[in-house]
This record gives sequence, C-alpha cells and structure tokens, in this order.
Amino acid sequence: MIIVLHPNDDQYNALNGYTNKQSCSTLMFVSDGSGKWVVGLEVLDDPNFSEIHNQLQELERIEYTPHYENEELI
Amino acid sequence: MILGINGIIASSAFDKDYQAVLNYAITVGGATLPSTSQQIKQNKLVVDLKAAGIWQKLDTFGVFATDGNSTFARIDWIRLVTMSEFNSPTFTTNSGFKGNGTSAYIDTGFNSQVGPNYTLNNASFGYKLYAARTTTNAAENIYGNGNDGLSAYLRSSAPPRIYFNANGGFVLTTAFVFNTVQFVNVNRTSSTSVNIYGNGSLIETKSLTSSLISSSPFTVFKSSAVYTNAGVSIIYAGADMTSFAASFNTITNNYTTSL
Repeated sequence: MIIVLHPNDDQYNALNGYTNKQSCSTLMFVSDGSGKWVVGLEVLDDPNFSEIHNQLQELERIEYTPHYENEELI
Repeated sequence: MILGINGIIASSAFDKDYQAVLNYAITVGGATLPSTSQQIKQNKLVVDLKAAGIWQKLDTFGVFATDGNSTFARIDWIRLVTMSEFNSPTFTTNSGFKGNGTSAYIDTGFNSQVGPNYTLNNASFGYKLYAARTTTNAAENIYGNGNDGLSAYLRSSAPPRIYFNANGGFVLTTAFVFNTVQFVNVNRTSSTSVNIYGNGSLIETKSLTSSLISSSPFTVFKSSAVYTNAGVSIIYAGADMTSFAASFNTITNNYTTSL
C-alpha cells in the first residue's frame, strides 16, 4: 500500500504549481487511478519546498490508487 | 592541478564544451558544482564521447550521476538548460534520480521535433539505470515522450512494447526485459526499422514504420498519468546510435563505475 498526500479544493488552489525557481522544482498534483489529486510523500522532505512545508503537512494522507492499462494496443 | 575561481579547474584544462557546462552552472542559482576530482572525470566523459563520434550526434544529454547537487545533476550538457523536476524525485549523490511511482518526474524540455540530430527516420534515445523499478504498472515508461500516440518510449506492458516516431505501440518479441538494470539504446535506423541495445549488445531489431515525431517533451519516470520508481543515472537523445552502441556503453560505464 502506497500512501500519498491529497488536497481539498482550497489546498489544491493554494499549492498546485508552486515553483522554487532557483532549483526549477515544482509541486504539481497528479490524478491517481481513482481520479483524486495526489502527490507523493517525498515532497515533505524536499528542501526546495521548505517554504510550503507546513501547508504540505496539513494535506490528507490517503492510499494511492494505481492506473490500469486501458489503452487499445496494437 | 590548477584551480580557478569557484572551484573550477582553470578553463584551459578542460574541453570547451564541458567548461561551458561548468560556466552555465555558475550562472544558475542553486547549482553546486561537482568536486574537482569529479570534474576531471566528467571532462573525460565529454572527451571520450567526442573521440568516439557520439557527442556530435547528441541533442540532449543528462548526467544525473554526480557529486554536484540535484540542480547541477539536471543540467543538460548539450542544450545548457536546467531540466525541471516535479514532485521531488529522489536524488542520490553519484547515482542519480529515482522516481516514486506515484507523481515524481523530470521534464527535460527536449522537443524532438526540434532535434536537430534527432529526425523522423534517424533517431535514438536511451537511458542508463542504476536501480530497477519495484512498481508494477502495466504502462510505465522510464524515459521518452509517451504522452500521446506519436511517441518514443518503451512501455512496461507484458510483454514490453516499443513506440518510436510511429502511431501506436508494437510488441517486442524477444529478450528485452523492461526491468533490467542496464544502459538501453533505442534506435530508429530508417523509416521502417528500429532496434534496441542493452549494455552495448543488440537485443532486438523490429519493423516499425515511422509517421510523425511527437512534440511532447521527453520526460523521465512518467508516461501520461503513469509513473515509475526506477533509478536513472544518464539520459540522452539524438541521432541513430546503432554503430556507437558498444562504445557509448563502455564510455558511460567507465564514468559511472569511476564514481
């Protein structure tokens, strides 16, 4: 089981796209297999996100839902 | 050894293109240079690639394995830009970057439509792993531009599939194992043929008719919405490297094993 961070709407709007320009590091929520916005726990230990660390700590921790292969293959 | 400012060895000691990487790093805030001993090794990497005729065929070249910091590790040695990281891929000194299988990736910004060495029917991309993935998604991609049907990447389906400047993926029929820790070269040698090399040895040649080059940027650890947690030391893209596969493997292996 993989645990990830999940924002509510306000947290998403506040944090999504945050960029540390000096290091070219960006926080960008992605959609997991259940359609929820998530980001990995690694962002909590990333010094490039120290400015938003407290806000990241407040995100809900949920179980990651994998994507399944659904593309028509040739 | 002659040390110049900022810990860089005097410019006359280095190949001009490696010196350009160091000079670029100084202009980029947040980049910590490699140790002086590693600068010598990295300079040798460039010199060896040039002597083999490989450097001249590259459009993008990322050396993630370094004792510089993670910002230095993301400098493209050909284009002299800093690749962007998203959602904290893990950087390990002298090994490279590792994905997390859920959201972390690197966007190289390399648009293969621009090339100039990478063209529709003469192209190559590849990567050197230091750690196998433990994620098991069916459609993972370690490195490529797998964001649409016109793509260049290897897909972790069972069996693995290849996409390369063509509309759709095709099953690899022989011995390519997606998760093997190795240096992978994927080459398009003509409008109808592609091949895959692992650690400098031919794994498979396949018929695959080209159609268009995707404008999606090459990314590491990401394919559409699917992510992998493999560990990557080196990435590249450029012209067909078929005739250089063995020497490319030897040179990069000499570098990574020297760290």
